[in-house]
Amino acid sequence: MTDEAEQSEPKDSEAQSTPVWGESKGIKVFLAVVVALAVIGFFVGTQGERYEAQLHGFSAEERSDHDVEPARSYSELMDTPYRGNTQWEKSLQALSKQRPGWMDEVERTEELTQRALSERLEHRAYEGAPPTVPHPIREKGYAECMACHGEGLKIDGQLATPISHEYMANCTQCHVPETGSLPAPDERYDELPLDNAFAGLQRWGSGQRAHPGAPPTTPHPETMREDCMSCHGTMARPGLRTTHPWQTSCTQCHAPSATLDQQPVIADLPPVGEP
Amino acid sequence: MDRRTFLKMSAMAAATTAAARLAHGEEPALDEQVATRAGDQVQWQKAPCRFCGVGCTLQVGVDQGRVVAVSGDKNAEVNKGLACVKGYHVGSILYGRDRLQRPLKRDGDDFVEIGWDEAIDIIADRIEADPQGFGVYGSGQWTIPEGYAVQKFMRAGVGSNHLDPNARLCMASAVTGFLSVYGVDEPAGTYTDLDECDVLIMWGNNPAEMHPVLFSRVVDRRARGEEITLIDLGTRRTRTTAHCQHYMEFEPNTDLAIANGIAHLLVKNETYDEEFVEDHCNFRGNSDPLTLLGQQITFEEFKERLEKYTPEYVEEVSGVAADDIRLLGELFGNRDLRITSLWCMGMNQHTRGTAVNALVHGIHLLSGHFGRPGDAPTSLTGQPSACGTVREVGTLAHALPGGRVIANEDDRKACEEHWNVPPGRIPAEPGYHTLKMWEDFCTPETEGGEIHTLWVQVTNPGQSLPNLNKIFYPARELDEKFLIVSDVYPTATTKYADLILPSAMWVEKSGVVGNSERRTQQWFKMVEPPGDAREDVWQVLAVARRLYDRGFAGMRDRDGQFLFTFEDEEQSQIPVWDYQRFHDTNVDRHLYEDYRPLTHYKQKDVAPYDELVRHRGLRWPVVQNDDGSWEETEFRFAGFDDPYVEEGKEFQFYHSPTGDDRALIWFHPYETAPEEPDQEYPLWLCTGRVLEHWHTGTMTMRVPQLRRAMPQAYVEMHRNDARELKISNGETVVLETRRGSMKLPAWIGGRGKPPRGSVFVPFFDERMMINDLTIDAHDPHSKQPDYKKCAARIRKIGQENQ
Repeated sequence: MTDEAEQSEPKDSEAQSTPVWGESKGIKVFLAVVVALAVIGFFVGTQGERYEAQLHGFSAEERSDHDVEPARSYSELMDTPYRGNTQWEKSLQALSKQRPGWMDEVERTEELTQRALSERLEHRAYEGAPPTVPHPIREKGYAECMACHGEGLKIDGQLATPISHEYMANCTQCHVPETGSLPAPDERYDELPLDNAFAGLQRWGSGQRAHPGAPPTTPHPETMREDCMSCHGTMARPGLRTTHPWQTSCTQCHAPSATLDQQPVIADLPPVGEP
Repeated sequence: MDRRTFLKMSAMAAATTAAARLAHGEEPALDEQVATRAGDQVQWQKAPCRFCGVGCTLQVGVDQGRVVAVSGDKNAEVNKGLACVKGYHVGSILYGRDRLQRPLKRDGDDFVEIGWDEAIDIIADRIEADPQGFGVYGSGQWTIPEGYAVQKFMRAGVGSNHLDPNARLCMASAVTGFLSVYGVDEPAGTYTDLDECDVLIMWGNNPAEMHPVLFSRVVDRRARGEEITLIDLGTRRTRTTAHCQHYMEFEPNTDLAIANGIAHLLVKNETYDEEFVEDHCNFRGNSDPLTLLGQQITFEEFKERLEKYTPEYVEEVSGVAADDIRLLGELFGNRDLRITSLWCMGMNQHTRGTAVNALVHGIHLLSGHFGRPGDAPTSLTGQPSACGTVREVGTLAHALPGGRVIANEDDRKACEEHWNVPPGRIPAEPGYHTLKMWEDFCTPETEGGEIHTLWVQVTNPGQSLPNLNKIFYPARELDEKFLIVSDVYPTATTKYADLILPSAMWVEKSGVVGNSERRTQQWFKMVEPPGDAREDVWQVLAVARRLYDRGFAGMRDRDGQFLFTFEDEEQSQIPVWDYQRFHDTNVDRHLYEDYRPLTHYKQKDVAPYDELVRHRGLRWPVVQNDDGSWEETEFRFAGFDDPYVEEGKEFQFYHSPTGDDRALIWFHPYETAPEEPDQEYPLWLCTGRVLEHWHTGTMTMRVPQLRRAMPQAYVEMHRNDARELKISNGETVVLETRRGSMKLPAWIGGRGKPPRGSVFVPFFDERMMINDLTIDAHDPHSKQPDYKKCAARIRKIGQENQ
């Protein structure tokens, strides 16, 4: 039961911890304070682990006691295998509803766009840099990444963007975790402080319209962004989301930029070895 | 690092930044100004990446005189638009706030700022006093023009052969391997083999982290539906292992036994390529004393020596299952497959480096897996111009440009002729190789130490030399020794310098470099260096000119002219030694074009500078067609591609050590390592690199994205070893060898997974210098030290070792 007590909200734990202990009132009070402090300390301690908390962060009512199945031994597993509990199934259904429908109305304002663009930059050294990974990774290879980023996933307000480029197997070649995966704090940080004045490009520019109502040109390179739906699909950030996701041939109307896509190669350059 | 430390770190960084700005009375606006501008004003130009030997071409975006973005060059054959995380963040290396900006002279424990004029005078004084005791310690990060200038400056000017590069620590054994097999340095194959091979064998190599773009070039073929067998022959599990069908873990130093085991099976099962061997190969064994040329042996003798390397014996020695050895034997025995071998530091940083290099070439030759697209033994380099500047320009203690050697009188004459200096100007005695150079620098004059002054450029020996307690620190106690360091940031080496010169880096200067596949690339200067930082090549030219002005004879050619004379179209001299005039001409182009004819001697013809400007690099030999166009070479020694193979020949090893157009298949026995784990020090210690950091971390530790992803060094250990010592994950432990000890956190089940009895430490962290612990034992031919194997022990803090 200790695990459950730890996982539930403080008030539940307090209710459990007040009776029975000790003879004198003083000891009771003392113990109650100790337990309360421990519980509060535990939750304060877990606050730093933002991502950990979010992964397991079902609210108290989502995992209320009556729904919790008791732990069982391996021998018992044969007769009573684990099933998803009702609460869990219910919350899964709720989660899947976070994928907006194709025909849902999409709000596009300049302010939303700006916000989306600056959110993107929080994880990039400059516009066009491979985003850093805002969560710990377990060093288990590409399957670990593709589990969420293959198709994309939006869960409990967290968005795992689907990969925008063609599948490449060595994910960590370009995408590195923002806080590393070493288990030890950098205690000697002060001996080599990090202080860099690089100021990256923030925006490629804006798409251009021939006239009001005309489709804008693509304001960024297509390189590494071959899948438009990664940033503009139904799960994308408000402000970048397309208003017409049913139109799937994007470049039919939105012309890419030859310059940004490094085309043409170099004027008047013959292929090597040919006249 | 947990999130709180990270936030604390970020906050501190921001605070220091703000404080620094206040202190320097800087306009805070510059970063923000650039940052808020949109992309349309950005100017894009090509430049090779600053880091490893892969040689990716990048497109560098510059706005208002600052690098603001980087993109993989889509038109580059090497990387086809891709880069790795270091490459994408290479722009940030220019902007660490502790960039060196003024020449600094030691004053007790402090440094004082001085002017360039005074700095140049100090160096000229040291040279004038005793030219033979002056040495230069350089780097595979020198550009070709920089290395060439130093080459000429030292051999023809100063008259000292004490010139050696850090590449001695990195790929010297690959060089001696190539020389002993083909008689000429550098790989026959290219990266094209990676697109064509059916089987890729990585020998003690972790390209997923160290050469990621090349590794992707292979593994991404799978995503396109191609089948390719990846085999990792390693001493610990790495990120590369995760992509391989086969992982064969061997006991350190036993790679020689494995290679011999493969050769044994090829010979025994008669699956070797009889025709290829008959037509193109000789057999070779060791001579006594050991020489790089060895002695001729017959096929029968070769067979006999291989006799004992049965799969079972190899299993016993190496720990690789006999069946796995048989699998390798079968693969090599199948001529229908295309097999490429890759290696880097695992085989080179090895006391038997030359031998194991030769053996791997040998099994490729023996099995005929050579010279067809996809069939290649290919060594990789770790520095952007280890091939271009060190191996081709010959900035090694024993070498001259274009594959020439100092020991050969004709070679010296050829260079003296080319440089128009009197015969005999180049000393006939080769200089000291890296380890000897630094050991000598640590030896007092009274005890025979010859070298009194060392000028270090573009490298960080205070962190990267092995066994620092023996060959680096002692020099500091000696007053007569003088250390000059040209660098861009404070490092473990500048800490001990007497004179520090601030240098320009990467796109703050123009450059030409040569990568692992014989590709020479060029770029132009794009932004200004900070403060008074200046090009390394200018520093050398300025010292040369100062010596000339003082009447130093060596700096004059036969006609009394200054050695480095650059003329404009009207044939009037451009005084490039005056920094105000340095950019009046393209000094790089002058130096490179002066160097280019020297490359023809051994058919290593590099492309003209102007062709390089138009291409994303060209692979030598680059020869001119009848129509005037220039053609590169992908497959050396192969008749279908190499223009230097005689008409009608399928293969021709035209620099054969035996002078008969044949390559040599060597036999080298397996032997134990100089220091192996024992009771007192029961663990193998291996050192190496990680994806995020480049070598000693001088640049990458200052890039936020890279630093945060990999904030510090660690010791990787096996779970069970840790359990026995009661060490928990992340706990700070003491790591000790016979040479030194250090504290660092343990990482269990981390990125790499060493087997029991083995630990790994990366060398990028200047705060945890693993080279205080490493051994300086080295290969007899290449003089390259072994950073991969020594005996160590680990203990908990505060506990005696049991």
